[in-house]
Amino acid sequence: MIGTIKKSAIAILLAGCLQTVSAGQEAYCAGMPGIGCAVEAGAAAGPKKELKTVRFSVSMHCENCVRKITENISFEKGVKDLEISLEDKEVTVTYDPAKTDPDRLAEAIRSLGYTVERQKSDDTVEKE
Amino acid sequence: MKIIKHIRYVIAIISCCAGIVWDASGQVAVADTAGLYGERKDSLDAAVYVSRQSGNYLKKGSPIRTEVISSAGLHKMACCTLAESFENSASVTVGYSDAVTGARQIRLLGLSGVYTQMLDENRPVMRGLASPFGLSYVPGQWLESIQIAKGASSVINGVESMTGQINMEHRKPTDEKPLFLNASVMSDTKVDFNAASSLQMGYRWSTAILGHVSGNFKSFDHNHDGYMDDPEMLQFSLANRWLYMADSGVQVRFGFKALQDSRRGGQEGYDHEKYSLSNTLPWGSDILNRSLNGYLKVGIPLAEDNSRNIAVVADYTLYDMDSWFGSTKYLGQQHSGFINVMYQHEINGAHKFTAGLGSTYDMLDEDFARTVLYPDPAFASVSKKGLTSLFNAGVFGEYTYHAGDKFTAIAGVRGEWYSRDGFKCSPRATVKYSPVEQIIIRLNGGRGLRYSMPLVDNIGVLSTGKAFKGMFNDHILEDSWTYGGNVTYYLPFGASDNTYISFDYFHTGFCQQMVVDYEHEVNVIDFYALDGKRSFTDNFQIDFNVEPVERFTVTATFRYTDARIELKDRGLVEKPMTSRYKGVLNLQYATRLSKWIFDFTASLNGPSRVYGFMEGLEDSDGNLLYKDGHTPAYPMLYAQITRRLKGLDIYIGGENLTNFRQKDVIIGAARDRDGIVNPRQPSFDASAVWGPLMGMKFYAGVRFTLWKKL
Repeated sequence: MIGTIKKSAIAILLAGCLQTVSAGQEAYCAGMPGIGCAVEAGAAAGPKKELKTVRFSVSMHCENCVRKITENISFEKGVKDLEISLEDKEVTVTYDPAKTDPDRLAEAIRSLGYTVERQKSDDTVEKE
Repeated sequence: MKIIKHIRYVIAIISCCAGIVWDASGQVAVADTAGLYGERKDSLDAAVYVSRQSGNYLKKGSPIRTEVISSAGLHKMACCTLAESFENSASVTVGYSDAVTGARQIRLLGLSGVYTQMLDENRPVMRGLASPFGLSYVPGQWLESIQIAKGASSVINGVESMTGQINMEHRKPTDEKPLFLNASVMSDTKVDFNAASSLQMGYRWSTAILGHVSGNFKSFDHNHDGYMDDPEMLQFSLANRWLYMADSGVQVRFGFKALQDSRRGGQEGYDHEKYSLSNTLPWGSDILNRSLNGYLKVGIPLAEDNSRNIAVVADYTLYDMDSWFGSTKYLGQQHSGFINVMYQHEINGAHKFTAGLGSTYDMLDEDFARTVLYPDPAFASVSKKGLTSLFNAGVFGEYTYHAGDKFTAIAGVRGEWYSRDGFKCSPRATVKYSPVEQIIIRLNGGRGLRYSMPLVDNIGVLSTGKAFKGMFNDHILEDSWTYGGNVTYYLPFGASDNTYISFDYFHTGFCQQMVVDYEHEVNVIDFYALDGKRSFTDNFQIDFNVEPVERFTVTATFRYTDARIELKDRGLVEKPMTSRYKGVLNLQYATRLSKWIFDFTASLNGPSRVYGFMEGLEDSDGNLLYKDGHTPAYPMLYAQITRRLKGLDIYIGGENLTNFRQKDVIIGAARDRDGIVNPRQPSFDASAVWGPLMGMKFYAGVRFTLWKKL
């Protein structure tokens, strides 16, 4: 029984790792305090990526809406970071322009049941 | 190669990640649910809500010192049941009532959980017969959050809350999650399945259906003492909660819950029909609990802006407990009814009052019989069979005054008539003062009253071979006064705006209490009323929360308790089996968008004074187990890694990583030839539990959520 659990645990870890590798995410070591890297920061080796942000006005009315958007949009392809303000009814998404674009993101938020309007200012963020 | 590097990397994380930070950045305060009619409103304190929800934080806006465990906090650990979700809190300590039944007991402010009122969205629950096991009957995955309010809180739900109130918020019908599934398995073969569905049925109606099955396949005896470490259990429960929102603003909530739980503990092969003191069959416990509950809550606005409204809450619970412990049987059936009618008037931004009537009725049908080996035949066999009615009805009023954001005062009074004790008046007051935005001072005090249920409140007594003397069949009205305060400083550093340090002090003193004295006479448990003797606890706590670097949260808390009681012929002594202190350190780190979450918790549990009869106990090498009459201080370590994918959370973790176990749990003077403590002796005691019974455990689980999409 313990052996099976250990094997399953390793399988789960592997699954997570494979998902990470295939998503080509950034190096983990950067930004993690005090942890010696056993792994080279080779996961996303390559030219620095250019990320963009887009801000939307979204018809959120309660904390559940914030949670719904967070839980769903965080996992949309290409989304790198998310900031939501319930007070201002705004959702700011940092994304990889090679993988997605503001229209697709707006559609993803709309499919959750909200009205979405894109705000004019966009920023281009250079990745560290 | 990259894959292997990733695996090595993850293993490095596990091994050197001593810093799992607890995210307690409380940026969005959960809406105050103390008001029945309050739908979940948004906190305007939140300027920016980042994608993580804080796990465990002090609620800034609340006048009463309230600790919130959010769903993120409920996901930090295995959290299979409500009891386990308190492992991270220093305010609430979780322990076992005994070594046999798996009954979990909490302590708040150094006092037993029976003095804390448990609420399910403002309906009192886990009362009477339901209190020994109630904490195991609320699956952690059914809950959205838990609020722990310390001190004498509101009078609105009765004054049974002597040390505090713990309010549970379940998943709501309006959650927009048509499907939630959870499965987890622990290394001790315990499996848990939860399913929940929140469905919107049209414009006005919504419903939540919650289901739970759990059980274990095998029982273990890791310490080889001849008694199962954890009972064999099987539990089913099902709940259905409805919400109706009318156009007029009237809200109706109603729901049902059904539960069945069976557990067999002690020695393998216990059969309550065959066991007797004159044979040598195995001793054990066999418990079957069944419960049905139905409730109705109606909120009617009387003014368009809801400044005046009436709310009615009605609740009925049927609880059936059939239990056997060796040659003791306790068969109980309890019908409990609760009704509360409240009128609330918010006169303006500064003044608000609530007035109402409330009543609780418990009808208890008990069949109790116990036979033990005791020289005096009058005490060797005791029994009780019959009905007991406990009824109280009262009128209450509560007035709240706000002077802007700086000052809030709440004064409440409840005049209650108790069926056996007459009329009692319970005042309560709370003051919250914020001289500057960064400092909050809270003061709170009041009276608490509850009917004691001696056997059920102290279910561990049934797992002993001792004779019962005194008032074990009586229900006296316990009376206490609790007062104290909290000062919280919000500090201007850290990656979030929720860095705080908070200091608490609470004092609870009893005027009347049911005392369960294990030390008055040898091999006897003496039940008697306090009747003017002293019984009090002083509780000090310090909490610190900071996010030093983005997405890395540290929470440290330390609680010190001085609990004393004046026992017959012993004078004022330290209350036995109450830990002097507890420290908890939580670390949590989350990657961006919380795709990986690492949690680590370390707790240090301080010593407790052991019962007088335990002082001479020796281990197998002849050394004293409890050298200075106290248990050792011991650590507990927990760690968990969560991987979050779209709609799916996968988690693995470990509990009690130092593998600390209380040794020599089962007490008894005589041992059988195979070294097992003989249960058929007056000194047999399986209830003296102060530490973990199981060693290291590992678990893995998955949570799947389907959100409502257009």
